[in-house]
Amino acid sequence: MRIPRRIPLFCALVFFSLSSLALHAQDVGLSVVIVPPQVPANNENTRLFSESFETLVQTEFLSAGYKVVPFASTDSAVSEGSGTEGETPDALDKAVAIANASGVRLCVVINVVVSARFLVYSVYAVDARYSLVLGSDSGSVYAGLTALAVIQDSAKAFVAHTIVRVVEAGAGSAAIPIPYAITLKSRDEGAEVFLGESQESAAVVENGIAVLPYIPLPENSRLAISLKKDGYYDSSRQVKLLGKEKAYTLPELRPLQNNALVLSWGYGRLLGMGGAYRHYLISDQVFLFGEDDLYLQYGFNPYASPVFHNDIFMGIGAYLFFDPSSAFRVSAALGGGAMLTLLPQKYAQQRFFADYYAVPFCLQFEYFIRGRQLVLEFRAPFAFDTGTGLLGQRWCMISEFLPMITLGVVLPL
Amino acid sequence: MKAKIIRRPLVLVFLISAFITLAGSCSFIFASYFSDELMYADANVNLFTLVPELQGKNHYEVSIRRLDSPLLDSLAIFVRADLVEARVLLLNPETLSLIDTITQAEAVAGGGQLFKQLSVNQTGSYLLGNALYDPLSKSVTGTAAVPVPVSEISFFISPIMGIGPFHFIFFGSPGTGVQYYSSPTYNLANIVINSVVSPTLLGSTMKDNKLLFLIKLGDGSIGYINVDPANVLPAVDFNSISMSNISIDSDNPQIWLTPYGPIARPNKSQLITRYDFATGKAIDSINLDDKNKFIYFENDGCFFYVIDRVSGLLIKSKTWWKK
Repeated sequence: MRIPRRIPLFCALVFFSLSSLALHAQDVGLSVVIVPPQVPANNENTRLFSESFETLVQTEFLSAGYKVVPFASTDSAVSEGSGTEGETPDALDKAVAIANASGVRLCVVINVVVSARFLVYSVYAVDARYSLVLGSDSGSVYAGLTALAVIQDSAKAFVAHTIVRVVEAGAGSAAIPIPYAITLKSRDEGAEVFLGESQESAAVVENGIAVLPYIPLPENSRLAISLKKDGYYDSSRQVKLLGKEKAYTLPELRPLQNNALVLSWGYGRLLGMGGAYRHYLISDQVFLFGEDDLYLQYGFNPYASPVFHNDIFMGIGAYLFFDPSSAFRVSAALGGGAMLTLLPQKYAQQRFFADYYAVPFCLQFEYFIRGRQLVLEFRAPFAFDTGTGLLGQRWCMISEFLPMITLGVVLPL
Repeated sequence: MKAKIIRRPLVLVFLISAFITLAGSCSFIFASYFSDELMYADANVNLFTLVPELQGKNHYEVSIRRLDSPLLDSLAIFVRADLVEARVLLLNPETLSLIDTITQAEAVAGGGQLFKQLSVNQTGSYLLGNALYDPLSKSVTGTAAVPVPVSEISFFISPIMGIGPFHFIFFGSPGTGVQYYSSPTYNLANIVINSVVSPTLLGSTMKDNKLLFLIKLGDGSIGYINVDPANVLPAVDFNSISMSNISIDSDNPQIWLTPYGPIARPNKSQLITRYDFATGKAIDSINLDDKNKFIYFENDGCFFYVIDRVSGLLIKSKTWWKK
């Protein structure tokens, strides 16, 4: 019987591969301790998959020539991981402590949960020498027989990646992952945090912070974070992960507006205030408004008397550029109104005056900053000569050529 | 803690004081669509209620003069427009209520003619154009005794009373000269005008018992000279008296002289500025909301009058420096 020529060649290649991995492991003299998943009582499915995943990972390390040290859970090993007195050690510290307690360089931590017929798993390896997460993998799959193939592939990929990183870490060329779980600061209580394109919530803002699950992302990499909350516009931000920075502040979400109050003050009526009510026909796009500006005209001169003006303005406005979640927006409005004037004087044929006007174009620039929507408005009314007023028929300008310029804040109702 | 409580009101007082100081010196604080004279308004009346034919007229001629007389104090307003008979309205200077209306027809029937020069003669009668009006009988009684050359007069200065003789000054367009009369003889004194500098008389008032003449020279500079009334006759040589310049940035300003400084409105401007007699520099100013508004300052500097030609509203206002 002739032996096919390919079989000796195949055996030689397998032998060569295994030998090279074993020699590599011997060269670096690595051992690994594997922290098995914590299995809840009476959860047979979780136990089965946990044991399978642990065995697969263990086999892969053994195949690569690593020595696998049995894990002995001790409180002392965990407590050694606390960096500062009184602090709870994080996952990285714990893994480093376990590796040190076991006298090995690598600590592999496995988590497996079966819930609602889904298997969710994760695994990561920590290099105790450099306090680095060298590799990780995670996923979720239907908790059936097909899951075994998935976790097998995961275990293989994880171990292969990890042992390459062990070499890189030894050579000092590894990209250093951040050694902490990212904390996000947000004023939007109850908002959900989403990572990348994921549709699953990664964390929820509670008491002003949201702590993400630990992800061994390299330093200086960028993480896309989205914040979502009912009644608010979604907000996205890219966070650059810096070595020492653990907490990142997210921009405040902008609420969907159906009604708003606008308080304003500005050039042309510095001695007074304006208040406007906005009702949005289309949320944050088209609005009706009614405004009342009450102000004094007074020269701070002992010979002057205050003149009272009340400007009532109504109209419709629409945002022209930029979508509602944008920080900067431009809107235009048109409308009409009346400026009522009370002229206190000793002898007067007429004390009350009413100037009726139209505003064909009123421009508003809005900027959303620190949870406040600021608005800068330019308005130039055209007054009509109805015989009841002081302005006559003309464009109303201040100091001959300036429109009224006001600064306001939009308060959602 | 106690120090903080004490400090906070002090800071607040400081900020309020700073704001008021800033506000008093910066007109932008009270800038609005509305005219500044409203803040000093004392009385108002609508000319269209007194002369309904003026309503809707785009252009009409108007002239105002405060007439102080032992017989009757009034504010005289001359109005004339196309298809509207010229007339003079006499208003109570305090309340702006109507005292009398003198039409052109009444003036002609009485032997005179109305035009925009309004004055008082030495007996207290009114000179409405060259029609002599008796404030007691409220009728035109004849023609003014002063030989006023109607066709030449472009400006007319109110008489100055209470310093002895009755002084009366008018002048024609540049080149025709300034003429000065003194009662009771109405002797004419031609005030000498240097032909090189070609001064033009823009106005006059009394300050510290001195006649003040506001002059514009041929090079465009504007200033004033002090003249002692006792030395006017037979002639005043403008060139022999040093002129104090004032810096008005306009070729053809409207100017009023008051004892509190000359007031100027640059040509077609909304800004009315008061200048300092001593330094010739601007002291303060107000803004009108319309270039076409008519404005007139009383010679004593206590009140000024603004007419909105479109609405017809006449507002009497205290001057912003005088209570």
